Amino acid sequence: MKPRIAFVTLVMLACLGAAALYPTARAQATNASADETAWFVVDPVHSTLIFAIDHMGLTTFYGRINSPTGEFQFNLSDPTASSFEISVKAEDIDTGADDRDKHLKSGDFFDAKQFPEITFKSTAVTRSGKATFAVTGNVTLHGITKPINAVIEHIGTKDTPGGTKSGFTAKFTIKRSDFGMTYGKGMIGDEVTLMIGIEGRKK
Amino acid sequence: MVRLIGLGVVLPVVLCAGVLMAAWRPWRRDAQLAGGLWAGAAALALASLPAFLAVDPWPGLPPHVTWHWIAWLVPVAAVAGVADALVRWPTAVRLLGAVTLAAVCGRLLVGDWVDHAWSWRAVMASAIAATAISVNAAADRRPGAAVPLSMCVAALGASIVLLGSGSAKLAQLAGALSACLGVVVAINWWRPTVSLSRGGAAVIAVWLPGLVLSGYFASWSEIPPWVYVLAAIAPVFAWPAALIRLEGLRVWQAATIRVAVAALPVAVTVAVAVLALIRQTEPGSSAPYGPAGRHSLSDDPPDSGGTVDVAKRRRPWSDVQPRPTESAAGELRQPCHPDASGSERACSIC
Repeated sequence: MKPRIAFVTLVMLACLGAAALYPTARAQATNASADETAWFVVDPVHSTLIFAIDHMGLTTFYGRINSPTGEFQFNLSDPTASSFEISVKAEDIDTGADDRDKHLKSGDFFDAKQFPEITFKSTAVTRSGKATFAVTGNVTLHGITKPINAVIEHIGTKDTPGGTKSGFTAKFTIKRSDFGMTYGKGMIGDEVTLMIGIEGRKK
Repeated sequence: MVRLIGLGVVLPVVLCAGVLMAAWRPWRRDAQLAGGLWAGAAALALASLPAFLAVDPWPGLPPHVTWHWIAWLVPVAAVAGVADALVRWPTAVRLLGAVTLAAVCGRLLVGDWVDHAWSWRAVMASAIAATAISVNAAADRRPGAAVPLSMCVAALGASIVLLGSGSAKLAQLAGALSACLGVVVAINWWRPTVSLSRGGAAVIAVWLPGLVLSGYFASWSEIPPWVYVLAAIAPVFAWPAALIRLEGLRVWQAATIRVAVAALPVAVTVAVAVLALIRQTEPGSSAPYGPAGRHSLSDDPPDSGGTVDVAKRRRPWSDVQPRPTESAAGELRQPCHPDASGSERACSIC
């Protein structure tokens, strides 16, 4: 065997070996990160809270509350060690019309001066599927705290140039009347669907 | 809507009329002498119960929303008013009672979350005390429809101000008070010997300034604070109006002049609020909120000085209009919206 052919053969074998070993190494890395409980700080720029509500039985109206903040701890292999604490400011409501935003922030709805914070604090997290988790927690809105149940989906955890990041989405429904927001019932629906996308950066 | 009108206006008016008619018996020539002054306080307080229930569930104690204290304080004021009507207290005791009630209302109706809370507590207490004392004095001095009509106008004006401030619930409650005072006006017109003095004044004093200033605390509108303060103390102007000597005029002429004088501050506050409402409902807009993303006061917010105000970060639609272009003749031509074919001449909007 000529030396050149022997060299190329060795290189190819090395590449094949590396390729064969790579999935194991990756799995070990994933397991290592999954086993530990990591703290994440919510990235307000890449996190979203959208609400949807019936308007006069004609359409579903969408609005959002900008800049969610908070933090969560997440353990993929032991979800019960996970917890979420997310908050938004009621004054950051954004429906695309300034005057409507002001009305929503007034005493008729959010009463954002007296109750500036809307918070969610989880009390229990359990696995409900491969990448889904049942979260129980308390929502505080308009000065009233109520328990809710939601299913959240873990989209992924990745190493990025900005650090390790993890993200979730969730969609659940609350009744605004449960939180003392009864204005306009009949014209505006009582049930509010909340859609949340949360991205956090590892501390 | 049926609930708002039926429970929020019709039932309060019926209750108010029922109590006043039963107590004052205006069909008798010696009306009120047979019934008593307490009826004004009792009727208005009773009317306040369904009026409040029309906008919100009855609050617990302490209420978790600060302005909900009004639901409790109006009946308390009515009890104080009835006591004032039934017992001939010395003037000093009556004044002390009014000031104490006002101080309690000021403390409870202004939460710690309000900026400059103690200053606003002083304003609230002063407005309530001044209203109670001046309405009492005006009703004592000028029995008849003029004083209740002034109160009715003040409540209606407050309702419009609150609507302009974006507090429809509080506007509804002020409107309910105005409707109930309309009943008092009608009975007073029929039988001028009946009066809102003593009992009724205390209830109005808590109900009206309490609502108006609470509306300011919760509002995000650009209506300046002095408008709320003026609307809150508008009933006080019934007193100087009652002091005006109008000799040689008929009763209705004198009453009209007095009501007009008392309504001057109401006119100012309503004008400001209506302008705010007009700004929100420009032609072609999606009433009642106006075009999406439009800034209601300032198109170009001042430099934020390094801080980012999300509400002001969006640009108004006018900012993205095409700039004027210079025609061949050298004239500046304002471009219009091009139609589907791109032709400016065929534009159907401009």
